[in-house]
Order: sequence, then structure tokens, then C-alpha cells
Amino acid sequence: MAEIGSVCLVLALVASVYSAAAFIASEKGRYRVLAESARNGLLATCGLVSLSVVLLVAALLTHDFGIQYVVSYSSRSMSVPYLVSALWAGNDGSLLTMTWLLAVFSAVAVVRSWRRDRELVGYAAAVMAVTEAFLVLLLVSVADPFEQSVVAAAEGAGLNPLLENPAMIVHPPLLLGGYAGLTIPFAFAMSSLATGQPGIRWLTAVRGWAVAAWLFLGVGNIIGAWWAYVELGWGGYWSWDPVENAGLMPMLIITAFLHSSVAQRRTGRFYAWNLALVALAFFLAVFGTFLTRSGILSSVHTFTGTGLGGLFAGFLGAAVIAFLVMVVVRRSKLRNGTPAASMISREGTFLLTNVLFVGTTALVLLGTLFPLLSEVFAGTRIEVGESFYNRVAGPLFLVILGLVGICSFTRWQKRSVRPMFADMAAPLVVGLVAVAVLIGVGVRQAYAVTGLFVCAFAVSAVFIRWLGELRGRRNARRTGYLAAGIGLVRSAPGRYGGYMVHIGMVLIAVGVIGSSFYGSEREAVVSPGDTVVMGDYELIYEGTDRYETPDRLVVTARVAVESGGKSLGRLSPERYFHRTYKQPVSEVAIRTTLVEDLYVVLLGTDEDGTAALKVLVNPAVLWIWVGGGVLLVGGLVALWPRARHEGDMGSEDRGQ
Amino acid sequence: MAEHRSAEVGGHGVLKRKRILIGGLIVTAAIGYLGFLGIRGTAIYYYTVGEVLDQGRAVYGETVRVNGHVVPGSVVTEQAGLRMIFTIAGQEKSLEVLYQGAMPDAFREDIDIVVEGAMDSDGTFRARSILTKCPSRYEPE
Repeated sequence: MAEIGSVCLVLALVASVYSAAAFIASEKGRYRVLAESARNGLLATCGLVSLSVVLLVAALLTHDFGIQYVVSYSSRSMSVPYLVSALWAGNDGSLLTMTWLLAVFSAVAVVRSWRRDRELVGYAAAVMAVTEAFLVLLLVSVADPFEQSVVAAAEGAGLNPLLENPAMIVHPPLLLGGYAGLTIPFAFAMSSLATGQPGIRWLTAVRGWAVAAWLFLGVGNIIGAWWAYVELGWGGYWSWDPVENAGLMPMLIITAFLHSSVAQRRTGRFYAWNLALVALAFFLAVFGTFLTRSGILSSVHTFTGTGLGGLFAGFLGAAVIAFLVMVVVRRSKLRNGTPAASMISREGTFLLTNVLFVGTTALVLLGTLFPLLSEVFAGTRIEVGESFYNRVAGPLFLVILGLVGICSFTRWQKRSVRPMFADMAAPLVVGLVAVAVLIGVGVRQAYAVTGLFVCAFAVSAVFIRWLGELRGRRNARRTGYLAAGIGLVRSAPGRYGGYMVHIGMVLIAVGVIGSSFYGSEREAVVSPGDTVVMGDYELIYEGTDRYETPDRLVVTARVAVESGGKSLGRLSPERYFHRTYKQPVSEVAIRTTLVEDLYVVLLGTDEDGTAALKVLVNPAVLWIWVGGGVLLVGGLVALWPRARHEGDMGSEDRGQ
Repeated sequence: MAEHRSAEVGGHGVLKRKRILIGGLIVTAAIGYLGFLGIRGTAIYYYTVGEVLDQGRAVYGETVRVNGHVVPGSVVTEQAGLRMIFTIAGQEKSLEVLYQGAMPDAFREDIDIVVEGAMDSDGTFRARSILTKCPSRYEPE
């Protein structure tokens, strides 16, 4: 089985290289019949890589320990879902997964654009094929997932117990899909430059892919944060680890693009800016993959320049140079469109939002690379703590949220200061009322109050505008609110998906603000019968149970939770001692309400029944996950194709 | 609409474009300054065990990060796991670390870790947090 898999990958390499060459040749005009053949090459690549994936998954499911990857990442006791997810548990398999996702996306993109975007599809497909060929080259050379195992093993190493969580089944493929998905917009950007097509054409080809890639990355990051919160036991959900940052930065850039692409469609400007954003998102995706697989961040000395890290660095360099060359060669085509009416117009606020997103990304990148840069330029390694990112990203995200609110009242191509202030009165009042309520219940921290004011302002601005448009449509069409609502969303799914995403972001912000400023924690050593008081809660430690399952020893602490004498149930934080893994794993116990989470970690136990507990109260964390759900729904709505006969953009604009 | 637009192109347009450009630059500068303040306020020196011991008294009390290898057999837990004492080694030197709090699940003997905290005048390291690698990293071991 392994041999067939390797052969498939080699054939895929041939097919993708051929496809790239044939697309370029056919675009040059000499051999037009090559275009069909090139497309078939891309489809063949997709088929071959898919077959390799099927073979590796089959090997995992049948415990084929003749393959080293199967030995390293699976075992006989794993259930089917986790066996399948082992496909992306290790370096080689996850590269194969990303290669497969890119192959599928490329095939879909090319088929879909074959007639719609005829002028652009050729070069775009060539770029996709080149990227795919690069990834397959890695799989065939330094990252072979079908490598034979050195020693014939009867049992595999199994899954890292920390990854034994349903979230870990979904989180990696979502991020890998996001990275792969960012290739498509970049491919069309390069094609737009190469063909000299009017700047507006490539946007229609690219919009759906940009939203999809954004959605993959956004949901992937939130699931990763949720996993960190419930599995890792430190009470937080985001630590600005380089791996986390690698998944965040491309997402921020593509978010900026989602906004400025709308501005380009409306005003015809920002063509060059949009090309740059899409390229930057792609470069950051490649760079992120490079960062997390090359070991360069642990120390600059572990990076040898050969192997995986070197090849990614080389590919990134080549891609950047290729893009810059195209931009310079085509620079005459990049200036057009109407200038922004003023800063206080919608395109002005969109531009400002873009600057903020790009600025935030730049600072996150600076923080992530700082140890490397300081080691290279100053000879001594200096790191930036978590607090750097919080201090920097916090205020910037807050300003962006404020703009979400303000932007609702701006108009395209008009300087809208006076009408804006009139419209803004209602959300400002809502914000002030929220502040009054918060101060009343005891929330006094300056940053928290400011942040929550901005959140209240932004969310009410979005709702008020949405309501206004709803009312306008209902009056114009003489229908009920529900029909008007559905019709509205179907006529402009991108816009209303965007409203939902903004609301989701506000919810997430509320969760982040609450848990960042008002969390509390304490540690205690308790004997059976002791009570730990934490805020309004009394936690009564009752004792410890031990029991064994086929693959581990479980130690459970029984904790009864009360508040003011009333019982609130039980929590059972646990520690597992796996047979195959040397590290003990703690299972956190969480009691979640809308207001706060009560989070209990079992640090350890003694023979005499004494236990060490860490208790945290994290306010508002549930809002983060709820906001994530709203984000997902909003993103899916935005992907929905616009209902053609419903399209009447004029009516909403008239209501402005 | 059309009249609006043509009024903006030409002399007015250039002025507006300049104003927007300047506005953008101001915002960018503000962001840059925010970053500068952030780095100045949160920069932490990162040493290996050998390097931090070589620093001697100079680093006492200062928050630093130290990278070392957890010496097998050196891990002692006290108070049912609330406190941990272990030794990290590097460059043929070793350093005793005291830590109170939740130990990350990825912590175990014989691995490389980074501890963040301060050197005490008695030569031990009081760790405030333990940094282990994100388990989904794909780096070669």
C-alpha cells in the first residue's frame, strides 16, 4: 500500500508540473489546445493526491505498522475518528492534508472559473499548479508520509493525550484549509497582473474564496482557543504562542481585504492595495507554515537551511520576488478609480480599518520574530511576553470595533459628518446607558468600561442600521418583517453576513474584556471536608477516587459547589496517567453560566487524600464561544450566492 | 452623484488625497509608537542555564526566561502537587527551580522547557510560569 501511495505522489508531481507549464504555454497564445490538457493535469493531480490520502487513512485504520507514520501517530486502541484525524497529527500527514486541500480547492476554482473568468483562469491555474507542485515535491522528498518503518512494530505510539479531544479533530484541517484557500486569491491576483485585465474583474473570481479562507481560519482559531481553554488547564484561551500567531496573521490581512475589496467595487480604487493584501495574506500563510515546521524560532541555530525549513523559505522568497516583479512590470495598470471623498466617508473608514488591521498584523509579526531579530542583530535573545500582544492588540481591536459602529453611518463617496452625528445619537445613548449600568453593578476598571462602551455602541449601531434597512424594504414591498428580512439577506448575503460577523465579534470582545480584567484565581491544598471560598462560591472537597481503564489510571477529585448555602452541583477535575505516555494529563472541570465560568484544576494528590486545587473564576467566557458561533453563521451566510432576481441594491442605498 | 464626483477630481482631489495620506501616516505612526512602548515595557531577556548563571548577581530579581533541560529524577512535588522543585541543566551547569501553581500537562522529565521568573539571591530560580511547547507543533524533535 505504501508503494502505491508514493507512486501516486510522484505522478501527482509530474501532473502538476505539466499542468503549470501547459497553462502558461496556452496563455502565451501559441498552443491554445493545451489549456484543456492543462486543466486535466490539474484534475489528475487532485485525483492522485486524493488517492494518496485514502491510502494513508486506510493504512491508519488497518494499523499498517509497516509505515513509519502509522507507527508514530496511531495505536490499536484508538477509535475510528481519532485514527482518521491522525492523518494530520504529524508533520508529513498534515502536509499531505494541506496538499490535498489545495488540490481540491484548485480543481474546484478552475472548473468554476473556466467559463466565468475565462481571461483570468489560465495564469491563476498556473500559480495554483506551481504551489501544488511545490507541496508535492516536499512530500516526495523530505516529508514522505509513506516512509517505511525502521523497525517492524507490533503497536504504535498512539495519540498525545492532549490531542484526544473532538476539537483537535477539526482544528488542524480548518487551519490547513485556510492556508490552502489563500492560494486561490493570490493566484487570481497574479493572473490579473499578468493579463493586464481591468482591476475589477479579479474581485468577482476571488470574493467567495477569500470569505471561505477567512471562515476556515476564523473558526479554526476559535476552536483552537476553546481547546486550549478546556484542555491545557491554565485558565486562558490564547497565549500568543508563535503557532497561534501564525494562524492569526493571515486571517487579519484577509479580513482587511474583505473590506477593501468592497471599497474597490464601489469606487474603483484600491486595486494595487488589494493585490498587495491578498499577496501578503498568502505570504503570511506560507511564512506561518515555515515558522511552525522549521524550528527556527527555538533558536536561529536549529535552522540549517536545508530540509523543510529551507525549502519553504526558498519558495516564499521566489513567490515574493515573482509578485514584486509583476507589480513593477504592470504598474501603469494600477492607477484608476475615483478618489476617496474624504476620511469621513465609507471608503475612508474602510481604509482606516485596513490600516489598523495591517498595523496590528505588523506588530504581532514583530513580536513573534523579535527573539530571532534580537539574536541576529543584537547578539542576545530578547523575547516579548504575552503582555506585549495584549497591550498592543487590545487597543487596536477596540478602535476597529468602534469603527464598526461609526462605519454604519458613513456613506459611499460622500462626506457625511453632519448626518452621521445625527444617526449616531441612538447608539451613543445605548453605549452611555450600558456604561451607567456597568458602573452601577461595580464594573469600574477604566479599560473594561471603555471597551464595553465601544461594544455596546458598535452592536447597537449594527442593529439600528439593519432595522432601518428592514423597515425600508418592508415598506417598499408591502410585506411582513420576516419576508422582508429573508429577502434582504438573499439580496445581499455578503452585507448581512458581514453584519452577523460584526455582532459575533462584539460578543467575542465582551467575553475577552470580561475574562481579561475580572478573572481571579487561587490555589489551595485541601483535605477531605475542607472548603475553598472563591468569590460567591464555596467549594467543598470531598475526596478522591481512583479507577483504571484499559489505557490509563484516572484520579478524580470530588468537589461539591455551593453558593450561599444552596447547592450548585458537583465538579470532578481529574488527572490521567496514561500507560503509553509519560506525562500526566489533567482534565479541567468547568461550571459555565452566562455570567462566568468556575474553573477547577486538580494539581495533584497525596496518598492520604490531600489534594492541591487551583480554582479560577473567569467571567463572560461563554460569550466568546457564542460569538464564535455567530461568526460561523455570518460567514456561511456571506458565502451564499446572491439571489439574482432579488438584487436591488438601489433600495438599501436610497435609504441611506 | 456625477456632479459630486467631478467636483472632487482635479485640484480638490489632489488635496483630499494628500490629506488622507497624511491621516494614514499619522495612524501608522501611532501604531508604531504603540508597538515601541509595548516592546520597551515587556521585553524579557532569554538565557540558557549557562548564560544566566554567568550573569551572576546582575540578574537577581529581574524577570528573565531560562531555557534548560529537565534533569531526570530531579522533580520533587510538595504539598500534594501545589509546589514543585526540579533542576534544569544546560552547558554543563544546573539550576534549581521552585514553582508553585498548575504545571502544564506537557511538562515532564527529560525535556527542554523555558521557565519565566527571577533568580533569587540564594541561587535558586523562582519560576512564575513554565512554558512548554504547543503539542501540535510539527518541529523535528
